[in-house]
Amino acid sequence: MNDTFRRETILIACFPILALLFLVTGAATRAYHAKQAGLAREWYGKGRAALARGKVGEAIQDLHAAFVYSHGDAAYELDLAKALISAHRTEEARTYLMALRDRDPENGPVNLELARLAAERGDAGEAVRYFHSAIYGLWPERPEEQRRAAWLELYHFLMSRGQRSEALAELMALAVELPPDPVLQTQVGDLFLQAKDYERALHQYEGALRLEPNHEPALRGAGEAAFNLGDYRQAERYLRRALRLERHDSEAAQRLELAQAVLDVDPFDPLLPPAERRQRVVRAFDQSLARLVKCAHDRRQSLQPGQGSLALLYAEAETMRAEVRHPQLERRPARLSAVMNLVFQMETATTEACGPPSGLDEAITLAASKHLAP
Amino acid sequence: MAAPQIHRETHRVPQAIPGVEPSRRTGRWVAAASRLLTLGEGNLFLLLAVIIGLFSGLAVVLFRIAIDWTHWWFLGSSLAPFRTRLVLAPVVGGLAVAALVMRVFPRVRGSGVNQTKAAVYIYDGYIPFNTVFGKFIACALAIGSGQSLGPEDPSLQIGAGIASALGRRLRLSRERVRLIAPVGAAAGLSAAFNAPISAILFVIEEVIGRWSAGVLGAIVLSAVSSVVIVRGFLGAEPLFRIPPFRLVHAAELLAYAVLGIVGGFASLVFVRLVGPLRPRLKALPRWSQYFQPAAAGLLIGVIGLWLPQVMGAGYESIDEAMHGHYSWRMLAVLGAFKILATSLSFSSGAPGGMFAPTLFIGAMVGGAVGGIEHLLFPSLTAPVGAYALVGMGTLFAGFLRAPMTSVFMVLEVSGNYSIILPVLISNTLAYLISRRYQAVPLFDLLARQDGVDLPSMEEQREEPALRVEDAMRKAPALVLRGEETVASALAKGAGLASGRFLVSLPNGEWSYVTKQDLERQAASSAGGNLTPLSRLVSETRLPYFHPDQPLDVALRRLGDCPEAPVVHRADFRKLQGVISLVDILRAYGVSPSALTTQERWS
Repeated sequence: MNDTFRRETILIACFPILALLFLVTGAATRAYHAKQAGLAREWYGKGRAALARGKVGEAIQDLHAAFVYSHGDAAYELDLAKALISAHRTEEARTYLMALRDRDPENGPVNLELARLAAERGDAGEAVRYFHSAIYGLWPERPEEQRRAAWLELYHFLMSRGQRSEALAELMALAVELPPDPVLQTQVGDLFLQAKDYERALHQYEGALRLEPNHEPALRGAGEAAFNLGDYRQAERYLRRALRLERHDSEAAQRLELAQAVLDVDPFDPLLPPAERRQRVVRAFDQSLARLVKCAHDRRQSLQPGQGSLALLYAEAETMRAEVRHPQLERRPARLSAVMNLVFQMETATTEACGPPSGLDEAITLAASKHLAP
Repeated sequence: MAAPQIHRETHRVPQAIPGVEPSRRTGRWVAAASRLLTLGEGNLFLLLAVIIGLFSGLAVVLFRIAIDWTHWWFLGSSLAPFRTRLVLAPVVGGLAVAALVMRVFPRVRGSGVNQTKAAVYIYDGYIPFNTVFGKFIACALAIGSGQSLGPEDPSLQIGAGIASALGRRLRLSRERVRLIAPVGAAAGLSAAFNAPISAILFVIEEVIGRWSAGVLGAIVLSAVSSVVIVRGFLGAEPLFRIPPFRLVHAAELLAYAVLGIVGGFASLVFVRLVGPLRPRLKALPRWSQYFQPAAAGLLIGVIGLWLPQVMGAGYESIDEAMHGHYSWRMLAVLGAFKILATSLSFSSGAPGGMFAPTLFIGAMVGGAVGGIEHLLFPSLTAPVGAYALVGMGTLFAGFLRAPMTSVFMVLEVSGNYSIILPVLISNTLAYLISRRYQAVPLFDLLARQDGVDLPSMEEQREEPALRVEDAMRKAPALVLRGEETVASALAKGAGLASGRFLVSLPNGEWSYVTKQDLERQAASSAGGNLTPLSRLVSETRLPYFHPDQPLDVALRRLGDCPEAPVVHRADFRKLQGVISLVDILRAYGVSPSALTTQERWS
């Protein structure tokens, strides 16, 4: 070989050797990665099986192996974190989840797990932040369903902490995002109902009924919401329809009975004939006075003047007794209200002293409270 | 070891091809092509650095795959291998490794760093190529079977061996061949660590010992190209996942200072265990060396029954420590047993490196210290992971005594600049403690145990250098200026005994003039008195020095000059002293009379 080009020739000769070595290394690396991927799958399968058998410790070890061989596969890491959580190794789980979140901040399942851990620690601020990241994050499977579930979990978390207004705000936001599905609308309506937001509950049920007019849970919920709003006529209508679809719903049947009773005793119904109105007032007055007397008797409490609130109301009722039976009472709305106000006060005081009313007394209380309560 | 024959002449581009008589036109074409295609030594060196980086990167990729495959073969793929495997694998691996080391590859025993240094300083850059194969096979067997060693040091030597072989094949100059081994070492280490900056710094700090522009470019190129290869084939993920770092409170720096102190003493324990154990085991009969790695393997296997994390390089466990998967007690136990296991493995002669075990111990010690501090002051300290990360650098500084590399390594792997203060504090304390109680650094200790006195980079760094100001004498009473006339100079020097005067010239240069020259010029003609000195002085220009320059520079540049001026750096005409050969020798402790005796003797 000529000396001039000796070095250059050797250098040039390096390139085919390098190319060959590249091929060999490439083949070795492919085989290596395939082996690692195979090991990862194998250990993942074993880990899942161990989890299914309830052997959490074994599952953690296997899932950890899967995670090591997969070089940080997010699905394996998430399952490992979940297994650690189920073994109450929450700090370890958190480090895996945080690492996952660092790599993929919008990962819905990871954020949800972090939210749960934060909720468990009692760190409400962080929990809410992670819940929101989960709700607005990316989900690999059934994203809408998973987001709704996360939203509902956030709602329950806030309710459990007594943050009712924040919880309802989340529920309202969820309600806006709901698809046209009567079941989902009804579920959200139920939550509003539980949270005593009857107006929104009724609105939600009505939305469900617009989608499916004979959706029994929605009818029952709407009846309950309307009842709690004091709209006994609408409640009666919904509950009757609900019972037509589900005859054995004893709870709805009781509610319907009560609603009908309220409608039957309510003297403020504008469509009532005057005689009927007076009759209802008298009946309510007599019923509540009798309950008051019975309560005082049961408590061995004297109804002589100056002997407590029951005695005071009793004295007032005695004073009003004649007026109640006045034939022109129905034509004097102010007096009518005054009588019913006294009825309401007597029922309230009796309830305080002797427990909640039932039957006709409950109906009278509801009817009176609807019109007179502050 | 017989060093190979090395071409001493640097490569030059020939203008014509010897032995060929081409026509004139063909000759011109060949010369032009030759100029175009041939590379100067400097450019060739840089291109070679890239090629070395590529080769080293590919070799390290295969090496890492080989280690993992050996591990699966010996210990299986489970993270909690069967008990029999845990005990038997390192024993069987140890027997195989010992046979290879004793029979086939005797040079693979020992530290790759020291062997690379020996190549640079003793064997003119020569590392036998079969050492590359030997390190590859024996280390893959040892580490894969569970010996408590790491792949970085062997990777460094694999890179250095490849570089040395290429350098020799290309018949580079002796100087270049010497420097090519560190270039390969940087490539190998960079590929193993997946951290080029740390590898470059380590090679400069620990192998070469000085910054040199000539070799720095080549080292950078080789380190970067090897990392590119490794990342291309094995992915860009670091060896372990790095936890987020944040300094919780300024007072937390005290906690890192405590880590530095604990890390410093842990380093001492480690050195004090490896230091005496290795020569003792080496001194045992030769036949026993066939069984020493197996015996060490057996002990490590027994430890592995309870603590399998101490086996092998242990990157997964470092990862887990940094993510808070262990309690502080477990971290402390793992750190302590890793020190024991690594000391056994390394001292038994099993080939492999100390880098990964050092990082492991550092992470465990750091995590344990952090865990305790976090228990005591939860609101003032960061989670355990941050301390494990800083702890790795701390042990690196204390045990391997590479302070700069230790700082940059943590910075590089964490990618977080805010970690710098804790790392600086912790590493410095560990380094100072280690230096205070262990005079000889580990690599120097190992070299001396092997009967080689390699230059100690730490000693070199810290050896007080003599400077010109240590040898110079006071400036003479009379210094003439070039603008002065002969008459003025004669008047000034009239009462002086000295026959020679320094002359400061207007352009900042210095020369001299003798009294006889002045008198001769004054007597030569009527106007001779008025001649400016700058026209009269000798054509010789004196070398001049600055007070802070190293004395050996002055010695080399003084030449035949009897006396040279020492001038101010900002004003070259301002004389601060003079220096002569006698002054320099006196500063070096040689008396002029001794010099005379030597001259006579020679």
